[in-house]
Amino acid sequence: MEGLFLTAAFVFVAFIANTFRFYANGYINRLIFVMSTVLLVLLEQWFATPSHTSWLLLFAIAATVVSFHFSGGMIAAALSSWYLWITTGAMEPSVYAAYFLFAGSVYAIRYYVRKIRQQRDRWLEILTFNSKQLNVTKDVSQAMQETFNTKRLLETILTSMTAGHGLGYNRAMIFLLSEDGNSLKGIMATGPVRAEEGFKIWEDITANRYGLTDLIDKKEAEKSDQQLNEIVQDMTIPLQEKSFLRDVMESGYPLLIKEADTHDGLMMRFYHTLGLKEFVVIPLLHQGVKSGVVIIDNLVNQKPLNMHDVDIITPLATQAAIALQQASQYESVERMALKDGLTNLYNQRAFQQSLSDDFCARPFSIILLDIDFFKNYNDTNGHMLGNEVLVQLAGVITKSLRGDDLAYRFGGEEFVILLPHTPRDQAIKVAERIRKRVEETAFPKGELQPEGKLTVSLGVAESDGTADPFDTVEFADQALYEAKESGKNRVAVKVGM
Amino acid sequence: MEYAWLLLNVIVFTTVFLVTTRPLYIRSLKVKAVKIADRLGLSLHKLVYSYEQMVFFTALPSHLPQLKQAKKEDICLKLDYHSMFFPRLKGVKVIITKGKYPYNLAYLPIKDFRLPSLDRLSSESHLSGKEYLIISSYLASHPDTLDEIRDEVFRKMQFKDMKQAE
Repeated sequence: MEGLFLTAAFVFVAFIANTFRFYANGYINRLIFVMSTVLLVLLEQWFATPSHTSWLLLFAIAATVVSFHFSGGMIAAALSSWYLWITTGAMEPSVYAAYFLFAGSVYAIRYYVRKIRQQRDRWLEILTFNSKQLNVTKDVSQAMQETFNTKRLLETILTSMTAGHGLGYNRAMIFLLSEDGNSLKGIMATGPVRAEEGFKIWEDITANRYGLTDLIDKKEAEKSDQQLNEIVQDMTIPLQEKSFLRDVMESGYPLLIKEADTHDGLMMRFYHTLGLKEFVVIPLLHQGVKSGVVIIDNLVNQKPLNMHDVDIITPLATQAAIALQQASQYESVERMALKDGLTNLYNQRAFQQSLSDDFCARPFSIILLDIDFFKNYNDTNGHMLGNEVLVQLAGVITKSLRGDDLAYRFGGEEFVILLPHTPRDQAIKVAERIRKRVEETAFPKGELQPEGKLTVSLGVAESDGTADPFDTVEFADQALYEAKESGKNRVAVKVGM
Repeated sequence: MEYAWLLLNVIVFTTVFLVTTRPLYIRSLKVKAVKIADRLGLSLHKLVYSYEQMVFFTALPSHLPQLKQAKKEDICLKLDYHSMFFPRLKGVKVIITKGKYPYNLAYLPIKDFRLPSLDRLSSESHLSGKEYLIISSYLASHPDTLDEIRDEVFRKMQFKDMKQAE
């Protein structure tokens, strides 16, 4: 009966101790744990016969070592010895020595277990860190391989640096080296200008469970981070003057700034415009070629940055540099494929491509342009001069266009202009402007032409977006034929489509 | 006989102590989290959280038979604690129990389990780091959150996502 009572009491003490100790602070929590074992000793002493206090005290000593380490264990051993002495009245040095030895042994085991646990935690930390880096690199490589478009690439790089699925920094900005290599130009940025704005973005991302790809698409579709982008894109940093960015570009080494240097004018400019205090600058470097820098900071959560972060961002920045270089080469090849080598206008292939594009599904107009008596010009002045005229004419056409209009060399001395969202009346105005400017322009040996000057004829046609765009080209061609037939140096329109 | 009885009592005490430690720790987290939330005027159930910092040790979807054939019931979420006697939630382990040996698939460190509303309050000094950890630990250990994480992991394990993307 006594034994059962004691068991119930032990269970009760364990349960009560656990129920309350987690509401207290760390020290009190530990103290409750120790006191619960001391209570066991007392309970046993009060209710059990014969008493086993001397060895049950070992239990309390062990609990004290677990809670208060070596010093706690030694104090517990001393107190236990004293308690045993006053309760029994007998001096038992061997028991007291055993208490101290026991406390030391428990501490040694505890120390060993703790060491193993710390080692395990460290391994887990390294594993999660490397896995995270590997996952991000894999996702970003995959996203980068899907496009050669520089803008999309930049969006991918920045999003992967700032998204939680990526590296999770608060802001990232890219500055690219100008063609002459004398300055860095702000190209694109991701993140808020103020911390408050950052929390809103962060809540939106979390609530909607956006993944890395969602965020890249979202960035493209919504033109987000507009304010930060406007500020960054407005920044051109000359590299002739001494600054932290020049240091990075010259050395090719990353830079970790823990606090903005008030003596560095550029750093102060970043601080005042963007609130940049603690940040990392990583050069975009590939095969010794520096193409720009990436700047990272944690404006919103103020999480401190260290060299660990530099190590995380650097491989991604290198990959970004490779991708940007490849995209730039691809774009220049693509540009060469779609541009006319002589006039630098778009070529026939680009025109065919434009006709297949979406904008031809909306209302648009076309102008077809042909140089009058160009065969005569070539026969009289030679093809070399003829080519010069084509180049000069391309310049006149380009200067006569509005913002969205596109000019193409259609072939030989024929040119075509696509005017999106433009009704016929406005297209006629553009055509007339070109005709007049050509007439007024002094072309080499133009006076030898039958009319005493070089002129052009133009045909205009309009589409409401429902017709086959190639039919519209055909109508413009018919209008051009009409302009030629009715005396040249004029604009004709094909009406009634 | 008395020695045996006493030894049994000590074992009972230790067992009860260890068995009840973690559940009662989680319960204390709940009480403390509710108290903090009340003070801040927050509703714990409405707080949005992010487990996007969960780290996968194997890229998903995977062709490993153990992962490819695993069902949702095979995804086991285990709370990872510091210390046996003085528990503190350290993270959530995602383990695939299918196959001969359990497969450690992912880990969500509790320090990376972030809640935007708490980040905001923390930056405004309305919430201490310790209080943040209490709420995030409570939410991370909540069965609904664990179910959500399980769903997310299972979704990532499916190959159909890639087919849709293609």
